[in-house]
Amino acid sequence: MIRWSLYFCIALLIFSCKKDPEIIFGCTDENAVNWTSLANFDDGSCKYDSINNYQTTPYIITTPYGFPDMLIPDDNQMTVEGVELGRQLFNDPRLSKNNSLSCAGCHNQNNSFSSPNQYNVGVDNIMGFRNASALINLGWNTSFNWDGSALTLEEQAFEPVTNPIEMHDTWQNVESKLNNDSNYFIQFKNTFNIEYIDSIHIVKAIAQFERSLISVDSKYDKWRKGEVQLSLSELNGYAIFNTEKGDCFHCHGTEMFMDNLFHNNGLDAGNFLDLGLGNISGNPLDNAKFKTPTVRNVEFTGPYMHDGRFSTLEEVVEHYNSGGNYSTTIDPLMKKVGIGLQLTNNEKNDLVNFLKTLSDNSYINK
Amino acid sequence: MKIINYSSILIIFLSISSCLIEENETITNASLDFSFSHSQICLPDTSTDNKLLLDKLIYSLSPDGSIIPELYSVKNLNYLISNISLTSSDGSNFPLEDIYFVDALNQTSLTLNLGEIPNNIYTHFNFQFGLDNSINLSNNFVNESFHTTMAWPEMMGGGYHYMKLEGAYQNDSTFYNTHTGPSMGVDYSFMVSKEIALNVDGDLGDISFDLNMIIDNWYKNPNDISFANAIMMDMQKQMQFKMNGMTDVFTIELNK
Repeated sequence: MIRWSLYFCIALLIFSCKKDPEIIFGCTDENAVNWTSLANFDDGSCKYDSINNYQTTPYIITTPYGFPDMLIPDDNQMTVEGVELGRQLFNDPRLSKNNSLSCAGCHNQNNSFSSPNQYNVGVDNIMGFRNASALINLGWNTSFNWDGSALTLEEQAFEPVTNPIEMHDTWQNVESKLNNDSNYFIQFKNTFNIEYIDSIHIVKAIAQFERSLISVDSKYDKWRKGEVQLSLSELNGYAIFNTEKGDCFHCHGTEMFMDNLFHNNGLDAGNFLDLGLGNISGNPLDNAKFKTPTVRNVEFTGPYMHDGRFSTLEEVVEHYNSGGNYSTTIDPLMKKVGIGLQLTNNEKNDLVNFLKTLSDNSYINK
Repeated sequence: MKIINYSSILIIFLSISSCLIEENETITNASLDFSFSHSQICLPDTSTDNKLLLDKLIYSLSPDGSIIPELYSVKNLNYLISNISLTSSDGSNFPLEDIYFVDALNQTSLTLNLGEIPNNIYTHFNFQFGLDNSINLSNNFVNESFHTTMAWPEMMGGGYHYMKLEGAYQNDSTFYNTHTGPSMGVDYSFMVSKEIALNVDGDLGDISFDLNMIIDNWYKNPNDISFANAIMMDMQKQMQFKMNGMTDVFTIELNK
């Protein structure tokens, strides 16, 4: 009796501070049709759709050297099926009003998913007013569009479909078109386990595809790995780029070659035709600030700037070499306004040659 | 028999009370908050509170010991501090935070909650301005918010800027970039240790400090430094800024 009392006391001593978790039996597999979020102990009762067994394959992103972990929303994890579905949607003109314009219509893979045109024409023959951004390494961006009007890729993909100067359709109409396609119906079922194709899942698939667009196989990358040599001109360009002589790195730094920030780089001396970030934030101090694009694949992405005003890389370099134009929101990194970098012709040439080492031919030829 | 029963009762009592004792100990600790402020000495009107107003060309400085003050403004101010700690009266160190990034344009970065600190008498608040060379390596903090903003190219030593202080001087269109960091791989970060009198006990409640950066003082005492650009490879300038920073750039004030 005494011994049992002692055992009882010791047991109390051990367990007195802990609260046992409540065990709830049920199906714990989210892929099952009878999954319950309350269950924490699988009792083997899971039931699956026998016709379309929902089972996806994770799409593995290997983080490139010097890149952060990719920002992937919890509710849109990457799958092989989702990326493939997104690729098809990206190239499908049925996302536009008259079935004539797909995302790829303005974001051409040969141009690193940008457009060779200064502006593009929408389905109603209305000309846009900004150059189509290159789509590259988007999974590491923290905002999208030249003015940062979208904070996620899913949010960004919503907009062009209904934009009057782009695809000018309605989501209701697009959903109807896609639901009438039995192939899409099966793919969406297999990818997201849904019975009705809606806009939310369409943009999720497109976003997954866009996150898969990763480019880190340029001559520069091979040089970093010791696989190739850069020429003397390219090396000199690298030095100009990465010192205050050219001062490119402050905005186009790190292995991503961009800073995820917005700058006014002195394109105009006030009277801005496009307020950029200022139009979104409503803050006059943000007027004429635009998101820094990566300069990876910059050789393929001309014309340049938010309005495509420069046709060649040489023109871009010349803009910085002359110092740009003063306006109230110009970035202090443009520290020699009207004077510029004062590079020699050889140095300008070296800088362009270095920029071309960032070209990843495998990316545009996949 | 009775002895064993009493022992059992004692053990049961201890098992119940042990949880309560732990909770009470937690309650007696104080929560420590930090705010980061920045000031400039406004000449000739020194009656203002000198609180930094970003992007205003109203502040005056006498560069190079000049009698004539020079107008200047601050458009951007980013900096890293590290090894943040408190020293107690017995000489022991209580670490608070490894690295903290301040962006003067981002209000949320101007306050830092360091959580609870144990009861003790603290005599010094310490931090390192910038990052020690042992950790200041390129791509060492790829997942931190400052990675892209503060990266310092490998061409010039690699790692991260300590500070990016940018603005205009003389007029609206002449800019300066005071960028400090590990120029050519040399460590110019420095320790700052500020004396405080802080006796944390159970009744003190939450504590709030303000760490103020007097921006003018980066450019004077002991070294008069003119506004300039392209100092990232100027090791002499980096050393001068380090010396000025160690002298009287930072002040600390207990808010409560």
